[in-house]
Amino acid sequence: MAGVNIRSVAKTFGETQVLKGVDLDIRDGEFISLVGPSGCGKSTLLRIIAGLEQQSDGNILLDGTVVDRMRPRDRDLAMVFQSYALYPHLTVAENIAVPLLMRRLNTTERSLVGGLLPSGRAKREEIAEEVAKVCDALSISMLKDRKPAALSGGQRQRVALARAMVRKPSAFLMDEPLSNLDAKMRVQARGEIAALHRQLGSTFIYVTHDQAEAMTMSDRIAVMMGGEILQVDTPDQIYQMPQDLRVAEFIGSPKINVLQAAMSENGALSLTSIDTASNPVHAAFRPEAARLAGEVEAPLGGTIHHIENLGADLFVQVTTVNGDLVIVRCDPAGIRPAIGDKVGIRLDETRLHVFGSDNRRIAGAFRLEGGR
Amino acid sequence: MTARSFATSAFRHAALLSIATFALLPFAVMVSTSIKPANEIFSDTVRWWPQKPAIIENYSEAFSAAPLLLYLVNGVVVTAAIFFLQVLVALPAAYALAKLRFFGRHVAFGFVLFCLLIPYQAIAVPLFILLYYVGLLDSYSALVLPFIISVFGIFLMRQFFMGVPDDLVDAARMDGMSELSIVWRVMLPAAVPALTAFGVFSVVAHWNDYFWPLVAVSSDSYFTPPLGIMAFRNAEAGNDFGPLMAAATIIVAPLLALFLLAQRRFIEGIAFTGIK
Repeated sequence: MAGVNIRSVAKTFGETQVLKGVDLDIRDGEFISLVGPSGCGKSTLLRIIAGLEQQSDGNILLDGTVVDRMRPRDRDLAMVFQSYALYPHLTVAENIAVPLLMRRLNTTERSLVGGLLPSGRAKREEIAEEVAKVCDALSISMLKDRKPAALSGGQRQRVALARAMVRKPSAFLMDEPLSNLDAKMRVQARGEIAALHRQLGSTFIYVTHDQAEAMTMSDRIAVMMGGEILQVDTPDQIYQMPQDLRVAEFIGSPKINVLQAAMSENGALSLTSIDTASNPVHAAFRPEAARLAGEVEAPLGGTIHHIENLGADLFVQVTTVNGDLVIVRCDPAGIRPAIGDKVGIRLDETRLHVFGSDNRRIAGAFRLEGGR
Repeated sequence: MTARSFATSAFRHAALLSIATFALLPFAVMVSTSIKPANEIFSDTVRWWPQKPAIIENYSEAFSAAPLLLYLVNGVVVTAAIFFLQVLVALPAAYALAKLRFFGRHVAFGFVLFCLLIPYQAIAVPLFILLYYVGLLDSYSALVLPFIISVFGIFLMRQFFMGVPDDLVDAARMDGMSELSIVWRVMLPAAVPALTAFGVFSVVAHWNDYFWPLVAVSSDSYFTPPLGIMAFRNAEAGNDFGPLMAAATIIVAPLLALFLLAQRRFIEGIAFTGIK
């Protein structure tokens, strides 16, 4: 069990700065996701925590101790790779046993003749038992004698997980472990990993570019972009109170609606008359914070140009008078709009987010100037 | 099969067959001569199978006239030692060049490529002088030492290791392997197809090598098979071609067997899946 503290870690590869001084405190036993678009530095950060990569600046603390100069094997962390990285020439059971063999047996016991030493044999039996236990826990016992080439993607992913679990490490590092699975398997594996975390109670650091994975599994999410952490918060907070426009845009599907707006001194927002004189800002609202209304009284209006029917939800895409695209969630049980209809859009002002030109959130209550 | 595709296919096979025949003809003559009695070898009619086969005579003569068995054992010892030591050097070197990031890596690889261009005959004399000073001439060491660093092996394995996913190496590091353990426990099993290929090149080259053994050893207890044949011809049997060809056949046979065994391995390879 260990908390992980990241202190202004920076990483440069030649001229490019991949991490620009990242700070993050991960609590013991927490499931934290590092999420962001590809190239945002999340995998590099994970590799630095693992010790596979050396940071250019800053410190990594495991359980309060600085581990910057420690080799990966001494950090007591386990990692699950995107490609699973199973040893192709070893069976499933042998794959899972490797971390234990490497740590518990000394060099002579590991050698070919070492198998005959009584001390080595006792340890090997002990290891085989633990491997069997882990295989049972992940229900892969029937695969123990197979080679990785004979396994499906989902099975390989479990074996990789088992290899990480068997050592009972203080923290798990996962680098997009689900991205090689098909959509259906991914949803199932999502639930399994979350359940595993609850059961083990270890620290999980999970890297993904998929905001749905981050939202569904994590205690907290760290949204990264351009080598920086933009926001660290619970999934609810990240979704409902994004502190940065880029966070708001990255999290949530369909994407949040972002419109240019003009803010006057008294906090009134206009979405339609954006004159250059007043303070230009971004107004953002999620599809469920808007509803269709009569054309006249709404602060925003336009023409429906597409409707996505997902069964439980109806996402109506409206092209506004200014040419922006706005997505509105509708209840399929209500009145069904039709493509080509001219509609107005009403917004829930309490769920309206306003971001300044620096992308940061502007706190406060806002009032929309109605009518056009 | 249409007439046209049959014709092309027949032509293709005819072409391949004629080339194969051309390549195999000397071997056929060798084997044929090895079973002929002396008076039939230079007869003016070409016969593949002699009227009076002298198989037992020629082959027993080959083994008794010269210590052929000793030469064969020498050949096995020398080629095995060379290959083993080559792998011992080439694998860690190739791993470092392919997977580790260190200062001067590109320069080091440049040197490897550069050394590929040097024929070893060119440095035979300095090597000879070196071994003379160390006092190792005329020994197994003299036959083995100059070849243990195989730049070709390093190059070949490095190219193969470049294709091994980095994740596998990182996973091994997380699992607690040292860099050397990674070489022997992860890279070596992964590299079996490439190693087989390299093994065939290495064994064939050093089993058949005539030049360096001729330079390095003088007492016939260290003779390798090709040297043995010549010693056989000059000293013991004069120009007795029957036993000579029998000896040649015996010397070629192990290579042929080895190649046929390795060929299956070559083609099968080991499927390097399970990574993705």
